[in-house]
Amino acid sequence: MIAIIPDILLLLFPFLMLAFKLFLTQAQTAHKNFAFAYLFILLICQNFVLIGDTQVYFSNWQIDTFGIFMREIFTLSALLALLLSENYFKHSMSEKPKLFHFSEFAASIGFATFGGVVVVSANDLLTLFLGLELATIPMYALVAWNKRDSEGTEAAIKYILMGSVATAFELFGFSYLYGFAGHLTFPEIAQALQTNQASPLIWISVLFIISGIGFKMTLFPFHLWAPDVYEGAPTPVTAILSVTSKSIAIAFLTVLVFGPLNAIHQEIVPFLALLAGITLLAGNLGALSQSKLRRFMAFSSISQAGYILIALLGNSPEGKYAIIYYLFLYTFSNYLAFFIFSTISKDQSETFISLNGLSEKSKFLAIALLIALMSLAGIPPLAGFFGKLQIFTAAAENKHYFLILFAVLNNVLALYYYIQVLKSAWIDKPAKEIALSVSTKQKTIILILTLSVLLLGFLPFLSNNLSIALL
Amino acid sequence: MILNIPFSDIVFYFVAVFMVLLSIAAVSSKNVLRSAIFLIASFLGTAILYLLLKAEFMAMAQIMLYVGGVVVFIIFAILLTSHLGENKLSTPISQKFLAVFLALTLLGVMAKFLFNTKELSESITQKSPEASSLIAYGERLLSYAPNGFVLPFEIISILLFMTLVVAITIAKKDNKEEK
Repeated sequence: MIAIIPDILLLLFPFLMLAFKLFLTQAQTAHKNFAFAYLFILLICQNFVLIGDTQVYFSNWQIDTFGIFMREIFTLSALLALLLSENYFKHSMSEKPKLFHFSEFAASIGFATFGGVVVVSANDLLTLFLGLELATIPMYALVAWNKRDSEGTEAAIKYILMGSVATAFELFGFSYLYGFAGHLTFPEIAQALQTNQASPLIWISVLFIISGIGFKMTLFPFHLWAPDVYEGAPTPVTAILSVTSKSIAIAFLTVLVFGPLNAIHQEIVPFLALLAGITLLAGNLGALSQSKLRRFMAFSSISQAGYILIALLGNSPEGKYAIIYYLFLYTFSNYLAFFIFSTISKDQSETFISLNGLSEKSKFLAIALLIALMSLAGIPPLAGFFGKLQIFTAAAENKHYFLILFAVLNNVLALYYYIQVLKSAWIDKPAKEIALSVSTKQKTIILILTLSVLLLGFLPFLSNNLSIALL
Repeated sequence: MILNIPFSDIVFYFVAVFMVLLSIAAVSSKNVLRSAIFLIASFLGTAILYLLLKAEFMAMAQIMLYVGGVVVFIIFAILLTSHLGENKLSTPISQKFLAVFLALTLLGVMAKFLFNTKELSESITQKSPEASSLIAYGERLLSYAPNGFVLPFEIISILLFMTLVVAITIAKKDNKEEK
């Protein structure tokens, strides 16, 4: 019964946060510290869950190795998002009014994280779908958290309208899969697919499911909402969208592709390869001409989604391993970039120009930014390089050399725009002097994240333990 | 030839055509109130389809929840919100040609796939034995067995609670300290 305890603790978290608000109205900083401590302890608890055989609770709640690692990514992302949001609740940031209702904010993030846990533990289509909804609906509200910011409200309306259409697509796809197999549970769908692979119903279903999840993963033809929503949302929410929301969508697709749809994996692969290639190119071309940092990060994360999709072309354990590994490193690099953006945006908006002169004001922050962006671009010896290496290795096992070559060429394009950001931080002179004020807490977090990005790639304990666990 | 077609098929096509027309009317109507009324009618059509599939419970739930609850609620919201039902909505589609082309392509692809599916034309609708009675429904919904649905059932309650919490947080008026 040990493995399910962290899940129950995670489910308890939002309720505790709401209870805090109800009964302890005076304790303003206490509930923030409580949230950080709770999620940190939860993360440690999750590390004690033993990997190995799949364990099943309540007959349908599955905890497997992939799920255990994904849980840690979701919790880590929630913890970092709350730490990032702390300053946004204290005063106005990035020329937007300050946020309110920290308890509900933390509770929504807790629910979204639990939604991710439901996705990786689901054993039938209905639970899987509900998990994804549990992870998506709080995001709509989080984007609109700043009620007095009309940009945020506009972004939320765009997000909820397009998100609902995507959900409808997904359900439509599921209904055909159910109609084909006659069952909702994964083993029975897999069995039905084994015996009858030629039915056209499967293709309709796969088409609609990938369209629906493609929206949430910001794949190419469905990515147009991302830049607007990422720009309109408060910065910590943008960070959550680009890490938690994206990892949950990827987990959803991984669970389906390597689970019930494994029998037709070879037939889906060309479709996924095409999507991955176009998404990479669309993300990279879009990022080239941006001047606002959050919009830039949106395009950057679109192209990252393309990279992760490449891992799905591999076979089951290697592909899953590459996805987990990449997501761990992506979480660290992405949050590091967002933490640095939050330090410069106290009195100015988050644009490339606000970064000007950062290297003179604080060498430490400028170096941390260098490390974060180079890791996102995939430069050795930083973490991002090893993540991409694993993804390409997974795809190479099924001989997708052309796509890998295309992805590597895209990397060159990506390097160009990441260096553009560095140029504005290191070379361009600022028009007016705005003093930086970075608290010790922020500095500590940035230092820890920088060291993680630097070391996690080539210190072998993470990659070795992961590969032993999964392979 | 005509005599071979079962009566239920004729009813199905009749209802289906009506539903398509009503759905188009619901999205293209310029008046929100009228759209809601068309929506009710198309939900009734769905209920008839459920009856044709011998899912009486679903048909009842469809009428009680959607026709009786959700849409009436929408109509109340429209009528209580001042001027929402009076102004004409304009929903221009900027790239009409492209939109129609894409919609027709999708329809064509779906039709091609579905006409090629043998299971659809051969299988006969019959009641599944598991769903024979309301008691069986309820037992399966709350059962811990591998084909039971207690887990999704519980997750839905969390989902609804969460939606309420975030919706209230977004919608409630600002306190004094927030101004």
